[in-house]
Amino acid sequence: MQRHKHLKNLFIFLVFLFLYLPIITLIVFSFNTSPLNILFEGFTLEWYGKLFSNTTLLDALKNTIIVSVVSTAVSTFIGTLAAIGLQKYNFIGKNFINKLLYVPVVIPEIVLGISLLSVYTLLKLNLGLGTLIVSHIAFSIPFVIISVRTVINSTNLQIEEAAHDLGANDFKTLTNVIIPEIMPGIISGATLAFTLSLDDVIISYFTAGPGSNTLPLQIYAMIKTGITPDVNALTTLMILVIMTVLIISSLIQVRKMKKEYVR
Amino acid sequence: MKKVMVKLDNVKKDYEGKKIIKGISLDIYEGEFLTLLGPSGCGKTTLLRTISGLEKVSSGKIYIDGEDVTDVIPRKREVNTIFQNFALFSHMTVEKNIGFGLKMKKVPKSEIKTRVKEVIELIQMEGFEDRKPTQLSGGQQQRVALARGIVNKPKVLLLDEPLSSLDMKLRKQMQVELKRIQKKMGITFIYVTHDQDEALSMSDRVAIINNGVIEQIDTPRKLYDAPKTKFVADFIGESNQFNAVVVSTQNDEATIKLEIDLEIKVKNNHYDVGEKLTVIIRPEQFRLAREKDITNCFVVKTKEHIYSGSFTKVLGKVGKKEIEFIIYNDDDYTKNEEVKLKFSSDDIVILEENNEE
Ligand SMILES: Nc1ncnc2c1ncn2[C@@H]1O[C@H](COP(=O)(O)OP(=O)(O)OP(=O)(O)O)[C@@H](O)[C@H]1O
Ligand SMILES: [Mg+2]
Repeated sequence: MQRHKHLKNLFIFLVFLFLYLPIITLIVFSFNTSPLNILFEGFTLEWYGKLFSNTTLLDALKNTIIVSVVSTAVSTFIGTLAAIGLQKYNFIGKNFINKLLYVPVVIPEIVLGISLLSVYTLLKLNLGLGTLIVSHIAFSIPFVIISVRTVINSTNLQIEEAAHDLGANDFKTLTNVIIPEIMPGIISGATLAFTLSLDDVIISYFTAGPGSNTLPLQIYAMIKTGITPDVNALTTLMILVIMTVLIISSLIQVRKMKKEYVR
Repeated sequence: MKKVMVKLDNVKKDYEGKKIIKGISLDIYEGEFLTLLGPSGCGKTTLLRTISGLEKVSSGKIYIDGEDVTDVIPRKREVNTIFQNFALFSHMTVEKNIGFGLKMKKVPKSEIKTRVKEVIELIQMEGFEDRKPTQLSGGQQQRVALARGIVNKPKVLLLDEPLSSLDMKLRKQMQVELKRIQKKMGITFIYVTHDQDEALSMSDRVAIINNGVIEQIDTPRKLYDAPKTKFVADFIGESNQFNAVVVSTQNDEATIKLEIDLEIKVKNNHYDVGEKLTVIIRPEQFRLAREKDITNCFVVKTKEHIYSGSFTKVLGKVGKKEIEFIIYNDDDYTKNEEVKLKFSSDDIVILEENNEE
C-alpha cells in the first residue's frame, strides 16, 4: 500500500515536472545576465528594461490587447445569443447547424487561416486590425456557443415559463432570468475565447496586416534569429497575464461557491 | 350565489392532431379549492397550462373573473402557477425569488419589501431570506415556490402536483399548510394531483378527469358515496363492480341478477326488465351475515387476509369473481374458508351502464 502511494506521488511529480520545467526554465533565463540560454550567470532586469523601450513590442502588445478584448466581447455576445436561440427555436436544419458548430473547432487552424485570408482577398479588404478582429471573433464563436450550451442543457428550462407567468416580458426574462442563470457558461466561454485569442499565431499570421502585429506574431518573428533573453522576458510577462486572468476567474468561482454553500 | 372566478367553456386542445383535451366545461368559484384528479397522461397539466396561458387552446373559451382571456398572453393574466419542479431562479436569493413578480409589475421597492416579508412569515421561513434555492431542502423550496406565487395576490393560483416530490411526512405537513394558507389568503386554488387521498382531504370539489374529459365533478364525499361512472367508482377508493341485469320489477323494488348468478333485491329506479346495470359495492359495505339472513347474501371463499390495524382486508372469490371486503377486528369473526356476507341495498350504488355494452 505504502509503496503504491509513493509511486503515485512520484508519477504526479514527474508529470508536473514535464509540464512546468520548460516554463520555469524560461522564467529563470529571463533574469539571466548572459544573452545565451545555456548557463545562468547572474541576475538582471536588463531585458525587461529593454522590453519596455522597444516600441515595436509595445505596439504589438497594444494590438494584442485590443484584438483579444474586442473579439472576446463580441464573440461572447454573439455566441451566447446564438446558443440561446439554438436551444429555444426549432427550425429546419437546426440539427445540421448544431453539428456544423464543431467543424471550426476540429479543422486545422491553418485551413481556417487560409480560408479567411482568401475571403478577405476576394472582398478586397485591406489586412489590418479589422480583419484580425473579425477572424478572432469567427474562430471564438463556436467555443462560446458550445460552452454556453452545456450550461443551458443542464438548467431547468421551465424558469422561462415561470418568468413569463410572473409578469416578465421577453426582454426582462432574458436579462433578468436566463442570462444570470447561464452566467457560469458565459464566463467560461469568454475565458476560453480570451485565451485562444491571446496566444493565437496561425490564424493571425494569415489575417494580420503590416501595422497589426500581435505579440505572439512578434515573438515568432523574433525567434527566427534565435531565442534572445528579451523574448524570455516577454513570454514571462505573457504567462503572468494569463495566470492573473485564470486566478481572477477561479477566484470568482470559488467565492460564488462559498457564498452558495456556506450556511 | 357564489361568484364564478374561472370559467372554461368547451375547451379543447390537440397536439399534432391528437386530441388531448376533448371539450371541458367547468365553473370554478371564488375562493374555492378545486382539484383536478386523474391518471397519468389524462391531460391535467395541459388543462392547467391552458388556464395560465402557457398553452393555447385549440378551441373553446376561457374566462377569468368574467373577462375573456382566451387570447391573452400569460403575463397579462392574473394567474400564477406553481410548477411541479418549482422552477425557482437558482441565481436569486429566496427574497429576490419571491419578489420577482412584484418587481416585474413595477411595485415600489419599499412595498415589495414589506409584502415579501409578510409571505415569508406566512410560509414560516424567516431567516432564510438570503439563501439560494440550492441551499434549501425540498420542502423549503416548495414553500418558496408557493410564496413566489401568492405574494402577487393572483386571482387564481394553479398548482401542478406541487407536493409530488416530497416524502410522505412532509407531504402531509405541507397539505395542512397549503390549506391554511389558501383559507387565509382567500385565493382560488386549482390543484393538480394524481394522489386521491390528497385530493379528497384538501379539496372543496374534485374534478375527475379521464382521457381528456371530466367524468364527474363533485365534493369528495359525493364522489365516494355516489360515483356517476364506473371509472370514478374505481378511481376513488376500492370497489367491487358487478355486471347485472334486471329480472323483475315490483312497485318500489326490483330483482336483479348479478353476473355471479346471484339474485338480489334493490330499490326500483324506473328499471325495465332486461335492462343492464352495474352494481358497485364498497368493501366496507359488506357485513357478516347471520344464519337467518336470506336476501342479498354472498357466500365467499376467502383467499387472503391482510391485517391493517383496526380492520382486516379480506380477498376472496364468489364463483369466479374476485371480491374484496373488510372485517373490523372487533367483529365476531374467525378466519374461515367460507364466509357469508350481506349488504344493505340502501348503501350500494347502481349505474345504468354495463361492461357488456
Ligand atoms: N407538447 C406536447 N406535444 C405533444 N403531446 C403532448 C405535449 N404535452 C403533452 N402531450 C400529451 O398530452 C397528454 C396529456 O399530458 P399531460 O401532461 O396533460 O398529462 P397529465 O395528466 O398532467 O399527466 P401526469 O399526471 O403524468 O403529469 C399526454 O399523452 C402527453 O403525451
Ligand atoms: Mg402533469
